[in-house]
Amino acid sequence: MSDRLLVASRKGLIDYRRKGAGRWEIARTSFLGSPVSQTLKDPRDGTLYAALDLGHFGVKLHRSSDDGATWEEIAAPSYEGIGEGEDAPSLKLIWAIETGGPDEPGVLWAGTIPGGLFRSEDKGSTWTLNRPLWDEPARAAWFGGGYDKPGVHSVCVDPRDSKVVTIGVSIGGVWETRDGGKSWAVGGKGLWAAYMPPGEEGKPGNQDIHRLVRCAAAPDVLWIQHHNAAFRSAAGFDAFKEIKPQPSVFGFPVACHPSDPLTAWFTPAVKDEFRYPVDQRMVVSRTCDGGKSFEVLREGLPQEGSFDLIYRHGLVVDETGERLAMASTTGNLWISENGGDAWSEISGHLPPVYAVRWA
Amino acid sequence: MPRIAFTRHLEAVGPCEPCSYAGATVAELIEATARDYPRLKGYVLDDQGRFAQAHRRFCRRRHDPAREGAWPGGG
Repeated sequence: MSDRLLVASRKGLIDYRRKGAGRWEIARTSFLGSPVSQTLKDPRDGTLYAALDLGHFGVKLHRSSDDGATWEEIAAPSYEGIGEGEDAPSLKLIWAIETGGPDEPGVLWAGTIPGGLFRSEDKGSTWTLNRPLWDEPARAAWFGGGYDKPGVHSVCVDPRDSKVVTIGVSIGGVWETRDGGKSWAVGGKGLWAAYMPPGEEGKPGNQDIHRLVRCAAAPDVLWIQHHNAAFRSAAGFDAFKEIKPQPSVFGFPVACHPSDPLTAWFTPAVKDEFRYPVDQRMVVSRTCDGGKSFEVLREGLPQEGSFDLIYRHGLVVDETGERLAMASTTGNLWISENGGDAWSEISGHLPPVYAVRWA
Repeated sequence: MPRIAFTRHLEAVGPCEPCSYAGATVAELIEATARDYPRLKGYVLDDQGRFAQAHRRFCRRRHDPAREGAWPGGG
């Protein structure tokens, strides 16, 4: 069970450690004052990674080999040499950092805005744009959701086969490679897009995937929080069925139980551009039967006047499925140590949080 | 030889006091400076080598009284 939580926030990377039941304290804040968009602890070797979004000064990537005591700036994924002229792409955000498989030491994947997927073979020292995906003709139809450009925010490596990688794109659908990135196919059968004109709703590339996660113990089970609905597949990336978290189907993150393929958590909100908890009562919606039904969990969460929105990487479950962490754009951090039945507020005054990761 | 300096916001990656480097254009000056400050380019240029729209470059030309009569008309 994880006793350490990394919080990537608007004002730094905050390292929380558990001191007792419901009691967590800040052990260290790295990059104090700087926006950290994503973070990762590589379970294979303990290396820490932090992606920074320094605005006019660009996107940066840092690595720590001493558990966060010191950091070195390493190469960020780059679009140098890609495209021509004023419209040539440049890196706007590192939205996802994930490890390769256990048989691929040193391999990392990075999902980015404006839509490129990058791979490193050397722990982030160098990066290579995956050209088969970038050059895929259907990628031209991808478009920006909340950002001006599309982005890869979810990268799910199949634990059975490291060459199988499934990604979620906003806005661009669900894509998968089965040969380590040499070729890609679009999936997402069953997804639909309410914001598209008639006749366009079901097209795979029009799907605004907010978050895609894979059940570690049952890797054919995938869960999606989409812009206008939630979905689950028990048969891989091209066989989704709609499910209905309560009290709203809109939200950004989804977390799935690592060993129970029927259990997942969502954070419902009022839809589209409003994005606050329904009735301003913060809740988590949990299913334990594959989406047939949902419980609304609210113990320990604010039940009036809440403006909390959980971003797509702001909800995470640990390797036991019992400990969850959730943090909002309003700077509130909660942890549950019983699968979401009850939540403890760990902080009510953080900066906006972009991502949380167990470490 | 021209001199170049960067905002104090970049003191971790480049010179904030004027330093002399060879270059006929701003781009050449940055290239030359970056040989001594390898992280600099990643903070002032994007990965296509373009300046961010918000960046401002201020160029001052030293006045040479000997050339006053032949001062060029343009900036």
